[in-house]
Amino acid sequence: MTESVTSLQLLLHITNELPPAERNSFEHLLVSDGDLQHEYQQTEQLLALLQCDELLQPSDSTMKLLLDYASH
Amino acid sequence: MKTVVSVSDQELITRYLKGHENSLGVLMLRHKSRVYTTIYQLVKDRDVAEDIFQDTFVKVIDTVRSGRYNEEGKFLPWVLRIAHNLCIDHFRRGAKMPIIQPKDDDTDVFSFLDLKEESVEDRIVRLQSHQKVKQLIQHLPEEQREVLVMRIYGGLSFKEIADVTEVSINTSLGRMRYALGNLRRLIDKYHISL
Repeated sequence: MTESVTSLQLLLHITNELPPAERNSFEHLLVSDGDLQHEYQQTEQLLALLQCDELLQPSDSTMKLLLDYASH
Repeated sequence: MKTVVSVSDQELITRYLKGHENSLGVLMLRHKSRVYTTIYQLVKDRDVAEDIFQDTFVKVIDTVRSGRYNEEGKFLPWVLRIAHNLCIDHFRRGAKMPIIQPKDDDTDVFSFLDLKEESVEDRIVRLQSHQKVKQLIQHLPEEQREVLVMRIYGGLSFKEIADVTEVSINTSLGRMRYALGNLRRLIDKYHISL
């Protein structure tokens, strides 16, 4: 249970969504726990890799249609 | 005077309802990339993604125009919820991509993979490796793929993803954890260098 909670906190911490009150205690844990550090680095690396994609765009014709619909 | 970039989503909707017809267009242009990319990463078909994207924003326009929009500033999560539900409808109508229903979140994803192996060397191959990792997302169970796509491409917080997918935040976090764990196992299994 503790391991599961820590992994979820890890995700929240990497994505800057961990509540401030929990942030300090998690960072202390991160410093002292080698396994958690390893998982943190792996997770951070994988998320960074996945986020390198450029965002895609819908076609101009679809956007024109929608913009016309919105303005009438 | 506020520039268009600094005007909030909520303010643009308010302006639209007051008769500034272009305001909703500005809002769509602001969020089109995230919405379209999220849809595409779920359905993996450009034509289908275009259709779902169009249907999504027609619903958005109709709802805002009729005065029924009440998301209080959470415009993008609301739009992605609409898009997410339309994607589910698409798969329920018998879409090409198989829907994988795991017994639990820690499922064995190896059974349906058919990846070709390639030799790895220098930057071009590294980019190919990165592309391969991204393709692996499509082989995750639907629920894990959803949360990953909404986080990476939709930019939603885990709380917002939980709202869109109608689960608890712990469930959405858990699915993300399993998604990343499965991706790491696949990366190791197929000797993909990062």
